[in-house]
Amino acid sequence: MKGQQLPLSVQLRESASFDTFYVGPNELAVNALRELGSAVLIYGALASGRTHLLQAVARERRCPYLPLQDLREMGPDALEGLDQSAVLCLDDLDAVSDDRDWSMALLRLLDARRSANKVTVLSANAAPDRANIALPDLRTRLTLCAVFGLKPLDDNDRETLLRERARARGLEMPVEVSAWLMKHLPRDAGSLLSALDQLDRAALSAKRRLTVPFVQTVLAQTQL
Amino acid sequence: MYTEDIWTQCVRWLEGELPDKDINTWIRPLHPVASRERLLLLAPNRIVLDRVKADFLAPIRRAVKASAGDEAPEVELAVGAAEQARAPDPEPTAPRKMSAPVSTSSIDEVPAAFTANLNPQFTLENFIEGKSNAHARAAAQHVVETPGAAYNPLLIYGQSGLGKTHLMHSVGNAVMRRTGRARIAYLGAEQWMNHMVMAIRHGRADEFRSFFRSVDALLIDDIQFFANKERTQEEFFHTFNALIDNRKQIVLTCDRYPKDVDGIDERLKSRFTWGLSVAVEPPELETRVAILLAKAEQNKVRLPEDVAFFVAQRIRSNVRDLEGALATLSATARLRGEPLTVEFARSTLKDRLAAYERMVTMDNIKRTVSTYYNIRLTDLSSPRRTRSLARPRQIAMALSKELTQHSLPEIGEAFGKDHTTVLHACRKVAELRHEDLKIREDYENLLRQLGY
Repeated sequence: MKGQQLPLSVQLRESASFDTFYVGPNELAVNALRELGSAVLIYGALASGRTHLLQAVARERRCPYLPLQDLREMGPDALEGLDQSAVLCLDDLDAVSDDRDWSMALLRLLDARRSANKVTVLSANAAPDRANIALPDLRTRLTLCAVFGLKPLDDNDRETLLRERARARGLEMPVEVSAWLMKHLPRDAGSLLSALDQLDRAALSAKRRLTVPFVQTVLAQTQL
Repeated sequence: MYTEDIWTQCVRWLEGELPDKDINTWIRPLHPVASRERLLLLAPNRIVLDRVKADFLAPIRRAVKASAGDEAPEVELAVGAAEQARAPDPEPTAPRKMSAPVSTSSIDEVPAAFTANLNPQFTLENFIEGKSNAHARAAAQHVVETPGAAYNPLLIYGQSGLGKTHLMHSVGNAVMRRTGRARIAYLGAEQWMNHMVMAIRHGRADEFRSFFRSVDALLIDDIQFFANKERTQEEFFHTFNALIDNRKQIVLTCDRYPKDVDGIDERLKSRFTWGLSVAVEPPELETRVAILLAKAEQNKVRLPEDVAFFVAQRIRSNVRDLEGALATLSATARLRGEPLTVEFARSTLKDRLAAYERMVTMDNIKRTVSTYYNIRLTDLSSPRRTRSLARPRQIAMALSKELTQHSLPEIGEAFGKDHTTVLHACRKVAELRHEDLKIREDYENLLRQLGY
């Protein structure tokens, strides 16, 4: 039997930029990140878009972006020498802030950057006063930032986001398809977008348009 | 083509090759330095260097070839600071260590790194004085006028975010201005330790010692981090003695009175308090308002007085929190194009303020106190009068009076007592806080736990 055609890797790469961020209710946070008048800390639940936004800042300002979650095991030496870049993004603060050595290193880095007038952008899963932080001193450094909570998207926002993203990839997503997805998938932006990724690939490979039955088959396959 | 241009082109090329995340995390921290035949990329640290070497050197080489064609320079990697490479003179300058392609940070950097890192924005002039910190400020002023004399060491202690570091930098800056070319080293206690460890490992302990013993002033932040580091304490003890003997000024900060820090050698503790020890307390309302107004002016934000008052009344814990609130307010006002009013502040700072207001219910105080003293919640309102219950109960009442708006009868009722008992408790606790160190510490810890 002839195998399914494997899609060439010709999909448009979704890059994490401000243009591809669905602003929705978070205009304030997004504007603060575009403007960067001072240190900014954004917090929000899982899949609220923190990483996307910080990547967007890194891309726009051509500055380093540190995923602290990934760097945790390498130890706080990973922060060394980063006091000089004009802008620096530190993602997932909560992944390391329970550790004393990391907290200490972060505290010194933030102080050094502040006194050199360098802007630091941080993200965490909670506001500084509620986060799990090993050092009280680090907490007070964090409260210094302009703090913005990312508001979760409501279902309307999410559906719009899904359809917009699909369109950006040149994929027409009929209303009934997006409605079906909203009803049957976990509704966080991350899950929806990874489903979109899958559908995009499947549609390309099968040369099909998105219809409810097609979507059902594709997603059923992967859930087995 | 200039280095920066070549590198900018390379990065653009790589953006089409590698995932955004890799670009942002591993490629953007690299800083290019070039000579004719080679492109040296400086990584901020070992970790970046190792990763780039392992995974990205090949694509970088391809990118360089694609951008510069046949004249593509050789790509090399090293650990180094971008800033050194970006020296003021326009000549293409060599990075710190041209010879060794892979260098690690070394003791050579100590003098440069720790004598030039005073924050010039921190001065005595822009330190907002209030009752809570007047003593500390006066002491700092005195040290500036006669460094190395009577107040040596100057020890400033208090919780985080109350201006200890500001005062410390002010002393450094003022001494620098007075004496012109003084060598002033400022660093955190744990940085001091790290450099000591590194110096010993590289067999350069003598250089480390002679450097720190030859400075004109030594400013060490957060000496509580010396706790339980015996070797470090030993080394610091000698440095300390040498500097004091030579009448060089030492300024230290600590998050509490050093005698209360466990794990610090007694000899060292007593030396820390040889000179003058001054406390900084959380600022009172008027000072908080003054701080907000001054910061606003500094940042060119128009902050009406009633808004400053509103914020200062609600944010009581420390100065950084105040500054953070101001930053959030001014950013939001600017982005929305709305004027800064009390109503605006209330809605913008809702989350931040909720953190405070959430804390201060009587239930919360009772729960916090009973957990702190490890007694049952019901014991706090029981009629039993044993000392082990009466003290915590009195403290809880005093906290309720200080932190909530409840009337004395209401507070009494919550503890099954009448209002005269509450009044007595408040007086007693106020008295004990003066006389009994343990009670004072307990009370302050509880205040902190309650978010103050």
